[in-house]
This record gives sequence, structure tokens and C-alpha cells, in this order.
Amino acid sequence: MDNKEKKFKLFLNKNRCGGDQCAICVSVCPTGILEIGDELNMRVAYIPRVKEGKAKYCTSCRRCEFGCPEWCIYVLEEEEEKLAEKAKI
Amino acid sequence: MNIGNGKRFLPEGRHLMMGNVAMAEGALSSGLKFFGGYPITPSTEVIEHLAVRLPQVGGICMQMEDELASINSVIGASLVGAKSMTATSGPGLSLMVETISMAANLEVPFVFCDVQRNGPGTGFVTEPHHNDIGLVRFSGNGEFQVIALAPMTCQELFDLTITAFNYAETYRCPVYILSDAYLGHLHEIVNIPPKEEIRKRVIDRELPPPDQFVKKFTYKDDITGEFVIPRPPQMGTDYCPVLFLHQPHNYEGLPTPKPMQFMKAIMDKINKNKDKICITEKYKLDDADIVIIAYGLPVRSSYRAVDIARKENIKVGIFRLVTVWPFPDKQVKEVVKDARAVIVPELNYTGYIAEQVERVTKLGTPVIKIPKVCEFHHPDDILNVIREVAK
Amino acid sequence: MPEIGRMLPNEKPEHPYVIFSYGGSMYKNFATRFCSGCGYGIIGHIFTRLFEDEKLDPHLYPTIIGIGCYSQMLLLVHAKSQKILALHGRAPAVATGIKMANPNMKPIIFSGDGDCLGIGGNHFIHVCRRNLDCVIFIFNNSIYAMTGGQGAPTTLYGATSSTTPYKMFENRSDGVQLALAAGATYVARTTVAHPRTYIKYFKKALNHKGTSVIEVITPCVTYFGRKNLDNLGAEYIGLEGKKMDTGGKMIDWIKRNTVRINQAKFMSEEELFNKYVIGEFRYQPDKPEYSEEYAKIQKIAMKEE
Repeated sequence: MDNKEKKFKLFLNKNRCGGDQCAICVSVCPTGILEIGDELNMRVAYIPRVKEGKAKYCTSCRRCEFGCPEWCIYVLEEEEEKLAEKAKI
Repeated sequence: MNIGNGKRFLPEGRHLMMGNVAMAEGALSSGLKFFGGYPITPSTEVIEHLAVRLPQVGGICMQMEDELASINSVIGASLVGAKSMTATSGPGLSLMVETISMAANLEVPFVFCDVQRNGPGTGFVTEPHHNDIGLVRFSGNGEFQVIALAPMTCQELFDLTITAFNYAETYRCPVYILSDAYLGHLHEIVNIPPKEEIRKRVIDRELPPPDQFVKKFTYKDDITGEFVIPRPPQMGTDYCPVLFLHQPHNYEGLPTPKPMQFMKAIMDKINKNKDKICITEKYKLDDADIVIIAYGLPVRSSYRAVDIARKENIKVGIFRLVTVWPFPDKQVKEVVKDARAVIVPELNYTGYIAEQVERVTKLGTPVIKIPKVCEFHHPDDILNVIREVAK
Repeated sequence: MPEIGRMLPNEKPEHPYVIFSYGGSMYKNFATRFCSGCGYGIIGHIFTRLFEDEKLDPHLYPTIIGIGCYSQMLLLVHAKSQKILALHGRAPAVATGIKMANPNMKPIIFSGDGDCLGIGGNHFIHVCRRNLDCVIFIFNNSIYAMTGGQGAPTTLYGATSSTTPYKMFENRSDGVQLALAAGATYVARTTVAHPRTYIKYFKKALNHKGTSVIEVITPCVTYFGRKNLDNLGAEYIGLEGKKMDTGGKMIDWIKRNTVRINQAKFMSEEELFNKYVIGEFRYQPDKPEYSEEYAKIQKIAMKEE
């Protein structure tokens, strides 16, 4: 969903996300950079997105990753992301 | 206390033993490893004896907090590959039926000793009453088949326990030993065979060769058409299904959209092997036109009655059922085909097996029940009925 | 088996741990079957993540799962772990049999508040009394969620559920105090809103010899959140509550409603009403463990020829 010059990226698996009824990542994020967007996914739910221009405040603390019940939102380091790309499942 | 000599097999020869103790020793010689039980009046001697003997042979004897926990720990232990058994009486069995129906679904091999006692509710606690026959067959939710053996002497309590463990290993279904309060507390001479002989008879619990690790539950072999029952799976090894789920599953343990196929597997693995499972005995039956069908202790008094009746040259014989369930329809039908009358002495009032016999006999031949509750059939009771019928 | 995994298209780089979960190992892209916002998904993932990071030997750590919403975790838990679905409430009893038959196993028991403190209370008490080497999780969503949101032994006072439509009037039972009284040697409570402490307690329980009981407070949005206001724990302030109809609101409510164990000492009885006290309540690693004691008994019995 978004990338940063600090060598990590925040990814969201759009279609698996529980959306507005879940919104755990929105409330768990310490810097509050996430919000519920207006894009619908295959589960007919409004999925979260990063607020305007707040991308740089993300500190990759992974609270959203640990708090997400559907394994949708996750932070991948550069090497990890290559690893995930290589292991293209 | 030096009841056993610390070894798994008792020294060969004659021993004076209580029924419950004989059954416990039978279980020990057939490789018992885990016993989970709860004290209940007629069957406490089993757990008391095993509490002494099982640790001596490296086994585990646990007195759990209630019957539910004891049957569940038996299922857990049996899933890990330990031969396990529990012993209880009527009220305990009625607590355990839910778990037995789960065990039948997971095809867990275990042996269940039901020392029956009197009546609904608490009843006369030390009086025998074969009232669990129906509960044993139709216990638990859902349909499944069970094997129930009915010994009548302490010697048979020892031998039939080994057969029960072998049946549990091969057919992987709940196997019951139906003794009762008198038989459990009866002291009789038991001839213990030599160790090698017992070891030859016992089927051990071991894993199949690695190439047969895929099929873990009963399945119908398409080529030969009959049911193949693989070795029981063991947790903690590679021969273990991905998940033990008590829902209709295929031979690999995964839920299946065809429950009828699963139902056939559980039911027909016993129905199709009835002739291999059923043990019956005949006594002076070849020229008899009056047939006595019985199981358990009433058989002993009917032996005496038949001997006296034979002296009065009444042609009567006994057809004894050692395996009460599954009911041997074919054999009983042959025996009863040309019988003038059938007498069924049973130690209960409704006559569970008498009804099964009526189902099998022709319309004409009368089936006479001799119900007795809490006491034994005196040979004269059976003799008077034989004399009436013979007139 | 789960069709939902195959239905959803696969995103670019997948979450690294999805492949290890049982459903994920089959469909490469597995969505849990829990309602969105439920806490069980978080617990299942953390279990799979730990199972993978700690390199637990699947032969030695069987998972025994009771009956409840978390029975869906059969699909979410690690693919190679050996799982058995026990009857409702009987998971601790099955674990006793498994542990005693193979003493170097350490069963991990998933059970819920109704499953462990309701129908399976007797088995739970006696497993703690014996100090059997196992890990018992009590997932406390204070509701019988699978059967439609009925009241549970741990439903908070004043909460509404489908069987307590007016108000939950009963006193609620506390899994941690019950475990302490029964004699478990490692007792802790944490919530899903604090996943790091959950991981810490879980690792500590894995290396602890004896019964470790971890109660985890999880939100149940569809049956508990939608029916209750979020002033449940704050009666003494007299706050006017709003409905907790999303996972985020329930996580906030849990955070507001939990009190650390050290802070709870200074709070009055009235303030602690309907609150969850989290932290480690007891840790006694040197208490005798049941299967080792029984091994000693076996030695004594074998010597006494």
C-alpha cells in the first residue's frame, strides 16, 4: 500500500481485509496514521488506508501486523520483501 | 505387597483369583499401558489391583476426578499409542456414552469393562443385573457398532480380556467385557498359560510399514470390495492424520462430503466380519429339539438343568453366546430352525437377547423368557420350564 | 475444506507466515473463517508465528482444541502440529491421557471461557491440582459465541446477551483465581490488545514445567460488542456509553478496561468492578510435576520385587 525510504514497506492484502467492522489496525496504530478509506474489497468492506502525507510517521512497530486477525496488513523489510517475492507462492 | 512378582505375566499354573483381579491380569498380559478409572462399587478392585501392578510394568494407572475424565484420558492415551482400558459400572457407563460415540467415530481402540449392577438409579449396588445390554449396544449419539463379550467364569474373564484387546486392535471399535457384581467378586481357580503362549495370542500395537502411512481409517477396498481396517494411528509419530476430527471423514481423516460412505465404513466393518468376531458354544445340541440360548452366568445353572433333563430323556441343549454384540444372526437361525421351543434365561426383566432371538426364530416356535433380577437362576427354575415345554 | 482461500486472488508479496498455517499451506492465501474483528484470528496467528519461530517439534507439542468459535483454529494453527478436537469441556482430560501415555509430550490446550470454566470446570480444576505439564489457554470473550451469543460464566455484570436480555445479574467467575486456588504453578492473564505480552507469556509457559494457565481476553464483535455499550467497566464514573460495533472500538474498550496487576493493588474494590486484571499472578517453577512424580512411583514399584 505504501513505501518508505527507511527500507521497509507496509503492505495490505486488500481482499482479505475485514474492513470497517474490524478496523483494529486503525485503533491499534500508535501514531494514528491509518484511517478507513472508501475503497470496497471483495468482502464488501471499506478497507483502511494511510492518511494523506502521514506515511513518514510510520515507525514499523508492527502493532498492526500483530493485531490483524486476517494477516492482511504487514511490514516487509527490503530483504524480507525480496525473500517473499522470490518465494512467489 | 507382592501380589504380582513385578513382571507383566503371572507365573504359569493355577491361581485362586477374584473375577475383577483376573480381568485386570488378563489386561496386563495383553499389553495394557494406561488405565484411567474412577472407583464405583462393583469394579473398584480392578483399579485397586492395577494401581499396584501397572507401575511395576512401566504402565500408568490413574484415578481421575470423574468417569468423564477417565474415559477421555483413555481416549487420549490410546491415540498416542498406549493400549488403554477403563472399568466402571452402570452409572459410570451412562456418564461415558458421549465420549464412546466420539471414540467410535475416531475409531480409537480401547477396552471397556462394565461390571453391571442392579437396576435404574443406584439400585442394589452389590447385586448382579444384566441391564446394560441395551445401553452397551445403543449407547451414545449416532449409530456405531460395538463388540461385547460375556464371560461366565474367572478363567474366561482372563482369556476373554485378551480376546477383547485383540478385537480392539483389529476392529478399532469400542469393545466391552460384560461381567457383573457376582462374577466380579467371585473367587475361582484360574489356569495361567505359559508366557510364550500368551505372547503369541496378543496383537501388539505397532506402526504399519512407512509406505502404508496414507490410509489411517477404515476404507472400502474397491478391488476386493471388503473393508480394510488399517493399524490405529498414533500421535507423536508420522503415522498421524492431520487432525483428529470426529466428523464423517475419509480414510485420511479429512472431512468428507459423503457421510454415507463413512457410515458404511464404521458399521460394515463389523457387520461384514460377523463370522470372524462371533464366538459361540454348543452343549448337547445335536439332537436337541428344545434349545436354551443364554450368555453369562445363567449358562452355568442351565448346564445342570440340561444334565438332569437329559436323564429324564428330554432332548434339550444349550447354545451359548460368548459375543453378545454383534448378535450372531446366522448361527442362531440354524440352531433354532427346527427347534420345538426356545428358552432364554436372562438376568434381566425385558430380555434384551430374548427379543433378538424372537426376531430370528420362525413364527411358530415359542420363545420363553425366564427373567431373574438380582438373583441367580436356580437350576430348578430352568428345569420346571423345560418339563412344562416337554409335555 | 476452506473455499474462501481459493476464492480470493493472491496479492503480490504474501504475508510470510501464511504458508505455515494449515489452511494457508493448502491454498497459499487463507482467510480465517472468524467474523471480521474477532480476536481469535490474532491468537491463531501468534500461535502459528511462535510455532514457527520457536521451531517446536510437532511430535512433542500436540494441540488439543475444545469446542467453540476457536475450533476453527484447526485450520489456522500450524500445518505440521498434530491437532485433536476434544469434546466440549473435555480437552484437559484428553490432555491428561496424552501426556501420561507419552511423558515427553507437552499438550497445548485451547479452550474458551464456557468450555473451561463452564462445562469443563471439573477437569480444569483437577489438571491444575495435579500440576500436569501442559499449557491451558482460556479464551475469554465472555460470551458463548459459537452458539449465538449466550451468557457465559464470565459475562460481565450488566452486559446483555441472548440469554440475559435484560441484564447479566449473576456474579462472574474468574479463571485466574480458579487456577490459583486449584494450584496451577504458572498463571497469567493477558489480552489480545497486548500481543507482545501474550507472546512473552506463551514462551515462558512453553519452558515452564507444570500446568501453565493463560487467560486471554478476546473481543467478540458480532455478539458481545454490538449488544453492549462501552461503559461496561466504568459504572462508577457514570459514563454514557456508545455501542462497540467494530473491532477497533472493542480493542479500545479492552485497553480501557484492563488494569495491570501492580496497579490493581492500589485501586479500590469499586474501581476494580468489571475490570480485567492482567499480568503474571503466580510463577513457581520448582513445584513437582505430575508425570515426573509418577515416574518415581514406577521406580519404587519396580524395585519392590
